[in-house]
Amino acid sequence: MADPIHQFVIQDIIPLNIGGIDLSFTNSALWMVVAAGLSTTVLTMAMSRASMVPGRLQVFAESTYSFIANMVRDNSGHDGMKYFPFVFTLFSVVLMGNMLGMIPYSFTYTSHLAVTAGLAVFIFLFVTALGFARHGLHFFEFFSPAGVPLALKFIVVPLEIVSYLTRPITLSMRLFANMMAGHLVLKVFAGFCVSLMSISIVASVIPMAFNVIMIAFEFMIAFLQAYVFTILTCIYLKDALEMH
Amino acid sequence: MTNDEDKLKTLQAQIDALKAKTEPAKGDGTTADSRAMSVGMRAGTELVGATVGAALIGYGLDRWLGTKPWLLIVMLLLGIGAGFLNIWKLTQNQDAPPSEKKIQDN
Repeated sequence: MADPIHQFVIQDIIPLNIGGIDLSFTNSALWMVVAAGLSTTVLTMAMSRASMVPGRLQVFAESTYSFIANMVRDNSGHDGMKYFPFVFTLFSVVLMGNMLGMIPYSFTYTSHLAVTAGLAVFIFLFVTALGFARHGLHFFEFFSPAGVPLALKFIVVPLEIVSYLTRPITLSMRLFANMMAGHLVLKVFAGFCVSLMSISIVASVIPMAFNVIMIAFEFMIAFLQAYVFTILTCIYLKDALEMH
Repeated sequence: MTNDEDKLKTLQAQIDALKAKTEPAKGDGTTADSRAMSVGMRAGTELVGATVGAALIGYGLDRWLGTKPWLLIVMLLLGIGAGFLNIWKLTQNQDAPPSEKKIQDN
């Protein structure tokens, strides 16, 4: 039976080793390049012949823009709009990673903890630096919410600190686990389909039907996870900018 | 110029007519739906993520400081607490943002 884990194996395309560091161009890197290239080209092409009455591509580009712009405005306030390009880039990186992963034989780079953790740690450090730059040492007050009695502070403050420190872990784990689990399920059921074929073709229709539903479901998850990832970035930005 | 404006006006009228035909059936459920779904998605992982994350931090500190198993236990308990705190916060922020409130009011 086909190995369901095999789809996650990183393969070198152009082996490269500089100063003992493995810098090979891998299948993961290839799909990152495809994602960056595709999103840039599509958006540039869509807006290059912008007209008052938009075509299909322009409507797509404009509605994506306003979707993210509204998200940033609603979740991180007017101050947050300064970081709109950052959030938009993040959304396209994650969405492209998830969606391109749905193409057969492609590679889902968001199914690797190294990638999602890299993004999440970057967001975490960026937001924390932003908080300290804005509020100086007052940013520590973030961990001690107003209106909490002194006796409860001994419990709430450590909890707030732990909750803050585990943010990059929750953020990266959610995306990675969802993408990885979804693709595993698809592969496992496809495997069932093949092995049931030796018993009877009729029986193998059942896992196939399930897989068809799962693929639709996976498309939804792909979008939803990108949405959740971006909305949380907006919320973290707001916390850093406004502190509650 | 006036010709263009006329064209736009008729187009707008056409769009409005089409919208009136299709909109009532569809409603504006999509953003609200994905909002609700995302909250559901978050709730599970907030709890698990905070617990596992804190336990990992505790385990790492234990190995570094050689205080096995105390920091792991303390951090695990704090992580569980932080997970519940996260969920509590998630349920507190459920008032819809201004742009969606308007849609609901209409």
